[in-house]
Amino acid sequence: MKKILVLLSALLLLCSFSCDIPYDGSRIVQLNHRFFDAQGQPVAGKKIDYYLGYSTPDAGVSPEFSYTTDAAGRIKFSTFYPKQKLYVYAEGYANYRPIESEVQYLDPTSFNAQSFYFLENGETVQFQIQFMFSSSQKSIEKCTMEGIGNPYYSNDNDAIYSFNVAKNQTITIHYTVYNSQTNVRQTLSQDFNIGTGDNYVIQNL
Amino acid sequence: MKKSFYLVVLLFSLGMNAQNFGFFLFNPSLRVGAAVPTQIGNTALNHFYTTPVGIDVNYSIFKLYKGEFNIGYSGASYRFVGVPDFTAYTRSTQSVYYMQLTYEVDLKKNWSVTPFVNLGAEQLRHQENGALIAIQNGTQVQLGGYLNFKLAAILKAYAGLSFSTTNYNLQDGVSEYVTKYKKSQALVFTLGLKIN
Repeated sequence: MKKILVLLSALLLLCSFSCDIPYDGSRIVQLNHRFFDAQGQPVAGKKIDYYLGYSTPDAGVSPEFSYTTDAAGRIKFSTFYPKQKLYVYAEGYANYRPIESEVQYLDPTSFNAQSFYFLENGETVQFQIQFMFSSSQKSIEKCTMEGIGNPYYSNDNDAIYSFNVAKNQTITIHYTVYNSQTNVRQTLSQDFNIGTGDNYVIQNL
Repeated sequence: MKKSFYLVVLLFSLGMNAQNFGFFLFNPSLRVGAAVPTQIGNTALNHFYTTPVGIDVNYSIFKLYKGEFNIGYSGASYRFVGVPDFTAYTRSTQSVYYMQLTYEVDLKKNWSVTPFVNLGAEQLRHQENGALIAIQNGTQVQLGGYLNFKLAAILKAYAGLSFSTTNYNLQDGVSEYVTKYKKSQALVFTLGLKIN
């Protein structure tokens, strides 16, 4: 009897640990996304796929979530906090890539509103901004774009942020600089005129 | 940690040596049973899952008069029935490692009742087609009792009813699902055998 109990206690002490768990179970985020065409009109009835990490439809990977936009071009859903970046791909991606975008800066304490635009390849140019720092204590915490276009790619380590934006407009880039030495955050904004060609900007901080 | 270890060794030594005193005994006993946690309240486990049949196992370390200190495990696997606008997954497994205090009260002839209180560490593991996607951790408190019937000298059958509540360490947030996934409450029915 005692041997059985010793064995049982050993079994009870066995715990399973898993790595590579894609979501953080201690946080839930709500996403509120709206989808517009190039003229700013809501796009209804479009199937939108969400992928984790750099998975793309090209790789034959199934989406994490798939939703269809309502009459106001909206999609709203909640999820456990994704540990990797979340990407949006719109229906028709394989043919003309209308939306291939990064979901930006999920925060459990906000509704995470973000707009996406159906812009075909010929209508867009690339805008890329790279931040260069005078001190290694500085880093970018957040970089968003206000204007007609979609966030395409970001590399926080190299402070590179890339957007696909409509031609012939003025966009505003909002960014937050964090100084780890002083523990100070500074949010700044800057306008950029977009013409008909790609834009690559170096911003010294 | 060292202090806890020495304390356990001391308690075991006391238990073994104190058998002669008749009130403090090293008294191994084992309960094994099926458990049906029927979820209640405005929680995710109540609204989005089917009621499972799980297992509940605990065994005693020592006995003081008719009180026992037990450690145990209970587990149940819930099938997710789906919510249109929340993370898609298929199954959630609830595992609880708990400590239990009981006190047995004899009724007439072969019958007895055992009220208990449990304090446990719970893990809720959400899976999608077998792949683990998220883990929620929580603290479970359970209050209830067993009704025991003596079948033989070392064997009793028991039925249990308890109320359990778990608070998960989920951060506050704006999503309506935060409140549903922050807590779970259940009436737990158990049926099993006690060997000692």
